[in-house]
Amino acid sequence: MSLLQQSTYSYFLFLILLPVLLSGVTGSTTAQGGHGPVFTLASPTLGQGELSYDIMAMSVREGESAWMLRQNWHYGLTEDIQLNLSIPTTLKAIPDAPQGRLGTLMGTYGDIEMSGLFRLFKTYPGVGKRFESTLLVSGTVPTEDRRNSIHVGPSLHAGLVTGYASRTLYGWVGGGYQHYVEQHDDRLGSITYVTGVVGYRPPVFQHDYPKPDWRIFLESVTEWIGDSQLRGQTLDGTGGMKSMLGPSVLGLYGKWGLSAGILFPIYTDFSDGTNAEDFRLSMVLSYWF
Amino acid sequence: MRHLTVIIFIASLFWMLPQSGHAQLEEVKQTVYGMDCAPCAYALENRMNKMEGITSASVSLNDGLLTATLANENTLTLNQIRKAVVESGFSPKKAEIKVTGTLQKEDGRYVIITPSGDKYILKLNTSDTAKHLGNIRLGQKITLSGNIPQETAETDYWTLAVDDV
Repeated sequence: MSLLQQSTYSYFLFLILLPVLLSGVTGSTTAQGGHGPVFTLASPTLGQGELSYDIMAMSVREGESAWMLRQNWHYGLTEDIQLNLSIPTTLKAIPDAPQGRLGTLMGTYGDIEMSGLFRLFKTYPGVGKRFESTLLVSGTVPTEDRRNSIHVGPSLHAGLVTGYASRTLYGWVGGGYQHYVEQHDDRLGSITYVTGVVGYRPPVFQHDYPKPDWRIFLESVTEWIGDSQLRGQTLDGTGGMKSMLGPSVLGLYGKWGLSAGILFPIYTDFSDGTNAEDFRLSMVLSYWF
Repeated sequence: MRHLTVIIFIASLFWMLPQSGHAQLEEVKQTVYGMDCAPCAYALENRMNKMEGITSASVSLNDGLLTATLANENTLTLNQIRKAVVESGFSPKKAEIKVTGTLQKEDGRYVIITPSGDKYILKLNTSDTAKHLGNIRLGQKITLSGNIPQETAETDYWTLAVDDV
């Protein structure tokens, strides 16, 4: 094993063990966090002063697969404001990774994203039931100079989601817009998107806490990617639209959560195919401190 | 002078003696709206178990119920417990409580007051309860079980529908 491989291996091992190490150092046990779907906007709620962490492996395929590891930290500033930090680590890059928002609280490949969730509205119609609307505002900073030969700048993003959760049924609809800032006369195309998700917890998994809690989702993401710009010139054909649909599953047990999902394209319209995807895959391991 | 010294000595002894039958909240069964997942229950349970004065707390997700048993000596108020529920991102609704306090009468209504400041206006459900309460001297410590209604906002005066004295 080369020195480079050894250091890479040690780095990934450190990333995976980091939350466990931190939990031992702080001795903290309060928890609660993003416990919804994998790809689509939802309204996660952490209580005041609560902290959660998740690590996800993601893949987007366009001919060949790109793999990325993301660490996400979530902190409840108040019961209605949640702060999030999403840090990417590329495991396997491909030359022209398709553009798109890869999950609820994260941007595309290679972007560090800081975000805030603001719960604008909430009502509790009964035991185990929530109906709420949340505003998501974020900013991203790229970890590389260029992406697909285009200089990458920071970006601003805002989204809005509203939905209902109960012990049996779940549903959220939302949408947002992400705008990349011009960098050296280059600019990545803006992303406009809408998401929808429905979820169900079968009776067999409706045992009371602390027994494991499982639920299944059907998620849908539609993204409109704007044309990118290179040296001041619009790159015709880089923009277009893709609509994806697929299942995901979420299991919760105490302070641990495990979820996985896959989206397949049901409609794609890109004239040059740059931003088309064969599938979008994600696995998430969550821990609530 | 000698008598005064004896009186001060005896008074000091009383002051130094532990307060027996400490008046306070003893048990709370708080209905909670808005919890829909295991981490929600985990977070609330841990938050409550960390509160000074609570000896054990457990959460039923299916019933939306937080059950907290309080220490023999504690200074917790019902407001503090319900505030912790709100800070967890949920909504506290009706509650069943067991409380020990001093019986008083204010504006013709029975009230019990705990040392931590909670005041409960007693709503007597049966004539037996009213008769029983009528036999208790004002200023005496009593233990009551009862219900706090569903739509109660944060307050200094709780309405307690008494089930048992």
